[in-house]
Amino acid sequence: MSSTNQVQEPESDGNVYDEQLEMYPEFNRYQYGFYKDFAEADGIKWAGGGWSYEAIPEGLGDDVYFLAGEPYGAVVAYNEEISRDFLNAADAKGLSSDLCGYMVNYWGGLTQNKYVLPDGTVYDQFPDVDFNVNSHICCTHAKWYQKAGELEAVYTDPNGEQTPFFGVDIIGGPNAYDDEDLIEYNRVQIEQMIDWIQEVTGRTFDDARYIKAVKNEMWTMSTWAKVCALQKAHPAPLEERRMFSLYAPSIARRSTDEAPELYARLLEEVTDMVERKATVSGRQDFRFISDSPPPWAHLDIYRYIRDEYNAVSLGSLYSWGLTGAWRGFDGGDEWDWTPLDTPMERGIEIEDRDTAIEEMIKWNMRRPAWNVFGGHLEAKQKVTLAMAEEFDVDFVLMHLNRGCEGWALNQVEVSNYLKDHGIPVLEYEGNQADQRDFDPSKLRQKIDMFMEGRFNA
Amino acid sequence: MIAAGIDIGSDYTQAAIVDDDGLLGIGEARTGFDLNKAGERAIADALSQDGVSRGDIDVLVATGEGRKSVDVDKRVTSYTVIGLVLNQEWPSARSVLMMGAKNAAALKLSETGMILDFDENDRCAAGVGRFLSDLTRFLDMSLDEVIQATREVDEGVEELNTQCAVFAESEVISLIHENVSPARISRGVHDAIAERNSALLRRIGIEEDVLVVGGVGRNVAFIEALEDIIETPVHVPDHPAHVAAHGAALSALFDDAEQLQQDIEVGSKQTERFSDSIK
Amino acid sequence: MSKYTSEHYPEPALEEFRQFRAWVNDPHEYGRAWKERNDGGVVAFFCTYAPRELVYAGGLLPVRAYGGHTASEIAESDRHIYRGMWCPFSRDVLSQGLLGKYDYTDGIVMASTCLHLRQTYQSWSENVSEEGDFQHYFMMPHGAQQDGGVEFLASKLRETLQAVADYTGKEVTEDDLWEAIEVYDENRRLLREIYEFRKEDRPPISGLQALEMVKSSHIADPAEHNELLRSALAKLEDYDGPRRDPDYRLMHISSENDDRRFMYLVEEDLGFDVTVVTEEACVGTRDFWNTTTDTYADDPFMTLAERYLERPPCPNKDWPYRNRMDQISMLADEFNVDGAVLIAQKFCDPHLLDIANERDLLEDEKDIPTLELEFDASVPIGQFKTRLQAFVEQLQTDAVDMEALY
Repeated sequence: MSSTNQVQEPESDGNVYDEQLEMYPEFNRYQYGFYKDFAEADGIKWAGGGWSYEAIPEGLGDDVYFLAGEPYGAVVAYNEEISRDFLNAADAKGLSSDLCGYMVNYWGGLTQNKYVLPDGTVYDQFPDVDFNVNSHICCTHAKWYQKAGELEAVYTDPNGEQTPFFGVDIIGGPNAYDDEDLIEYNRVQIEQMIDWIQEVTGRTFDDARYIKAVKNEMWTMSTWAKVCALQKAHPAPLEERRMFSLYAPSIARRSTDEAPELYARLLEEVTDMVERKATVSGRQDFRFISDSPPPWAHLDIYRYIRDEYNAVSLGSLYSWGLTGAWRGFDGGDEWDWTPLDTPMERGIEIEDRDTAIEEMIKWNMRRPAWNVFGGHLEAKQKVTLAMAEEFDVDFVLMHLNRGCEGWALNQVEVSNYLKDHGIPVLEYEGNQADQRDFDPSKLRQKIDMFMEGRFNA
Repeated sequence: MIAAGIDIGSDYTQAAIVDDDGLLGIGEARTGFDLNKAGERAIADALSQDGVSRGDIDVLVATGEGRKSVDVDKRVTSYTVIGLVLNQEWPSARSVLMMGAKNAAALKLSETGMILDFDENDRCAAGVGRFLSDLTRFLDMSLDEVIQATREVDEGVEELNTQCAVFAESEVISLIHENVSPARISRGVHDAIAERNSALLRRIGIEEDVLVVGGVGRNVAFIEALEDIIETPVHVPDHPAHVAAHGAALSALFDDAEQLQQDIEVGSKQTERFSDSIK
Repeated sequence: MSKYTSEHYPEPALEEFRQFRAWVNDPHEYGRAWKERNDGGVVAFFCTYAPRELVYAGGLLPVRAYGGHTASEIAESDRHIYRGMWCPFSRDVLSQGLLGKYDYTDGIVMASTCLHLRQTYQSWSENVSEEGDFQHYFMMPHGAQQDGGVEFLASKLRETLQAVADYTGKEVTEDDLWEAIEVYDENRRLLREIYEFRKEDRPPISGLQALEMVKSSHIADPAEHNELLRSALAKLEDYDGPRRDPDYRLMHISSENDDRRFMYLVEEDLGFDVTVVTEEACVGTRDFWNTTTDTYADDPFMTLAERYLERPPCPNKDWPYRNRMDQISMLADEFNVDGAVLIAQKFCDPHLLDIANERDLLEDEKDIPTLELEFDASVPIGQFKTRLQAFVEQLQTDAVDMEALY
């Protein structure tokens, strides 16, 4: 691996391997920045699920800071020692480890009144949150902030008060954005939420700021999809393990003014890599994808499969389908992994609150991940098979994720479906955020069995 | 050429010695702490049955959980070698249940012995062989006595909660206290374990010939229970516990000289990496 | 343990309850016979949020698919449902479907509720349903409290009724729907009236009988069920037969729980005089406690939507705010409960998320001791017996202390 930022020379096969991504440190800086701001900046602070309508609270001012629970849960899980403390603390309070892995890390941290940055820096006070907002993506995740508010009252809030909580029921799914009743249902809740956040914070909602945030979110998600789409190339320019840092802001902090610009620069760099047949990885003898979040505390299994077999993960339904904007079913029956242009590029002008709300709703309902969490089996099968085929993979690595009901929904059936369609699948049980719920040596054995048995590798 | 294969499991290590004409001998030893010694003791046990000496062995191949932790010429995973040996010895094998003390897995083989699919009891202990052998402790009978008693009753006790091996164990104890006959308890446990493993087989698809390999293959009561549940004949090859070791040995024979040399080079790099990692 | 089969349960005094038991003993026989008597199909549902009225209005019989509680059968669904994370009920139900036990049914219906049952529906659709079967899965508000929820759900119910009409090939009018609503409302009213008798010091029916009564309401034609409920009610109003005489009045708060062996254990085999006098559970009060209202008297879809959103919520619908605790508190008070058993199916996240709050409410605020149990498809009688006996002894001790005080 080169230790400089210089572009490598091509190998004898015409590819450039082990290239350093220039935007990588920029993304790390941005991510570190928003986690740090959440602890230290002054302003409005809110926490909630990453699928929430992030743009709405942006209408409250220039000084709004958001902590998305899931990526923060991943940050905690990745810091193994701290995570272990938080998980044990949660256990001690009777918060079952069968529940969503991110959530248990989060609650554990609340009971310790601690907050963590990506580099493992720990604050001995969880930031004072003005309000929590969540959507209902699954029956477990939905109750995250119900409990969080109760814990905050006991452990973190200086006044012993429960953090005000608002729920927005979004509901996506195949072609959900064509459902007028559903859009109306969302709209009614959003209007109510806008009133509510003004009441809770005492601020006045600024339409212009909100509209800008809506567009920022759209640019971010559309551009991210365009980056992911480049993984169709041979060699694929990126590798999922290192894409996680690039993906994270698109779920954790996508509606700022800076986010779209970061992603635009990333797209430029990766496009250039494709033209030069460059990749951040080494040889790519095998290409694979997965579907759910990885076991964050055990990302070394990606290194293992790469080192032993030159097998590279291109991405997953999770890293592309949660925050990338894609054409999808587009009113039809077949799934299309072509990136979706923003409404602005499609000639829709978003200049007033009502239009912004409507377009924001439709945009958020199009997340491919709704086909997973909504339980739409046939849709998930098509989405996954299309990914495997369009991105020309050799196999699918299926993480049966005990840390997330939503992602695990229909996994076994999808696995059956893929196998029926000639795509080999390697399944393993794990947990995205509970490091204890995982057997790395058994998984390495399984990987060996699979690669040897299936591919004579 | 004479090749030896060792299958290093957590409790026992099996060995098999082959030459171009076939299987020369099989052996077994407790694995214990020193895996290299376990391999040698198993080989010694195998050698004691024929005129071959340790020095006659040209290639040593390891398989099983402990394969990366021993000094050998070549390493192959157990599924691959099982596919290989069955393709040789039982070419019509398609759905194979590997039943070990701590592990159960189902393999789907192609006509050429390739692994098309597999499924395992990932981290859950329900359905593994140890629970069957534990019955000897609970019922205070030898394994043969347990097997015989099981075969003598038509039905076991019904209410075993076998979704969790730990619960099932305490249930067996309750049943003993309630004076349920050992035969019915054992039958119930056998049926339950067979049911759990039939689910594994169904995951990869039940296609004849169905085989059971691994130590539990020697338990006739289990085989019969499995046959009942999947309504398909279940076969057991000779020396079911040694199938993997046999396959490991064969894998050396089947390589041509160049392939074998490559394997040995890969093998020694793996040994180096492992030695480095434990320093 | 073989005495835990239904032949050994105490025979109900009233013949109506003997009939409920018979229906629960063989639900499939009822379903098949119903099909022969009527010119209609049978549609299975998995969760009590499924709008039965719509199915019934189309001349179809909705039946809840239940598990078989037989450990040897439940593994059938391992090919389809991730065993290491999905609740035993969801797997047991699918296994029954895969084993052909519901082969007399003609379809399935579901509103989006807990993820585990969504999986059951999807896998059933893929592997059990046949070409031409009725299949309708729709999104309902995930939380029951949202503004705009009633309108949204009403729109989905409208679509559902159309799907029923399309399937049967017959027009299904709003009048048909109003009639169906009335039949189900009456069923709920009658159940609730019978439950009033469980409040008495010496209840005329046991928890096991109540369970059979409610479970059979998910199996039988509600019109037929209503006849029996009416006649049982008349007899109870003038009752002079055997009564329970509990020293300990328990309630249970559960995930899906239709386990009769468990009820028998609690009420007959602990060596104490225990009666389960009420429950906060879907095979129970959660399902029938509220009827429709006349808020939307001219729109049957809005009426039904309101009813389903206003009913005592399953934890997965008790969102965003916790309203469910009020219902639990009311039941504990009105039924004069001494202790509560908090039951979650293994891996049932919604209930696991609420159990701590249930415990705090009952123990800290109401001085009602609780016992937590985790259910599987078949419960470990030996272990549960020990724990339940210890729990009742604890209630005994508390009672003694109270006496000593005074």
